[in-house]
Amino acid sequence: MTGLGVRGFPGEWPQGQWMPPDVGPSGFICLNPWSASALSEWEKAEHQAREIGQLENDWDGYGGAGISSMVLSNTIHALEMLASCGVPIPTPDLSPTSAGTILLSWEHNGAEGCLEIGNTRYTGYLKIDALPPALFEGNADRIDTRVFWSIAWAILSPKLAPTVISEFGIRSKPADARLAA
Amino acid sequence: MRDWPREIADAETIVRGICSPYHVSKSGTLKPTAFDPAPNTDEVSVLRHDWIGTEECRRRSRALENAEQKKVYRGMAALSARQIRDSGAEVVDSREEFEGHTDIKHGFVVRPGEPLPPAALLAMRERNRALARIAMYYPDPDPAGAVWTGPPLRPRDDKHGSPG
Repeated sequence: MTGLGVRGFPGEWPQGQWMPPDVGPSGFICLNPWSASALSEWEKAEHQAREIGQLENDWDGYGGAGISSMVLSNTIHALEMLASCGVPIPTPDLSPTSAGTILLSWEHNGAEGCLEIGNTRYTGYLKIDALPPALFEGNADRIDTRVFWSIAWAILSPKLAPTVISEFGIRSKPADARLAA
Repeated sequence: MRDWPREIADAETIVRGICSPYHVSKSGTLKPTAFDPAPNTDEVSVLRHDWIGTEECRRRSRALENAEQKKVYRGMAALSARQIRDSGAEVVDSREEFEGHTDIKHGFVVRPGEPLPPAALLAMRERNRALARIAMYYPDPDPAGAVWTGPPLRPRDDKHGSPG
């Protein structure tokens, strides 16, 4: 498992870390090319994010905070990473929150993934049926690529859930610190 | 009217004003974020329907509308106080705001611009999903009309999934 490159992940995959399944002999995930319709869906998601990014203070009538340019930029970056991570994950449902953050959420086959993206931090979780949830957090402008992998594979293949959960159910230190270790 | 008790009985109908586009899904169902607390608080503003009545609830809900922000009043969602408490939240009278105002209190304070800690995010999402699922959403049949022309606002009957 060591010394392999994974598309969407900078450098070599960290030794001893969970590896996405179905890695080809070259070390890169083997995928079908993106279809035009999939690209269009991601373009729509980005367009929706930009619409949400225009919300100003009190957008919900209950004092909701407006969406800052930084939150929008971090969200667009996350969408770009998701679209190019090499796994055909469906586009997320995007929602503004009253805090002025943006929620990315998926729900499929008993799995639920959620990322809340703010100015400087992101948090999230992955929940599959009755298994203990995996919790994520880190810097919003550098979301750990493995978070995307985890959500993607859990949404697409819930049978892989135990692997995903066991590897990412750790939040004793932020993801970036784990990567650096 | 002012003698209405501060204590909120389990059977009381509690109403949340709903605006689009971000509190209602494309399929017309309530989104969990419709029950997000206001920034720097853990409170979700709602109304004591049994005290102030449908028309006053509607007037307050319509006042949320803001055309410049493309915020459009769509209707009202009704829950019983017991349903709110069953979700794990509190519901407390806050008539200091105005007569009939009350708050669902989540216990998670939302800070502007930053996400909740992950465990709190999960807990609040699960609670908001429960509230959105159990709430009886009444789209206003005539949002521009002078009075409410929809059915009586009642919480969902837990057993039968329709207004009780």
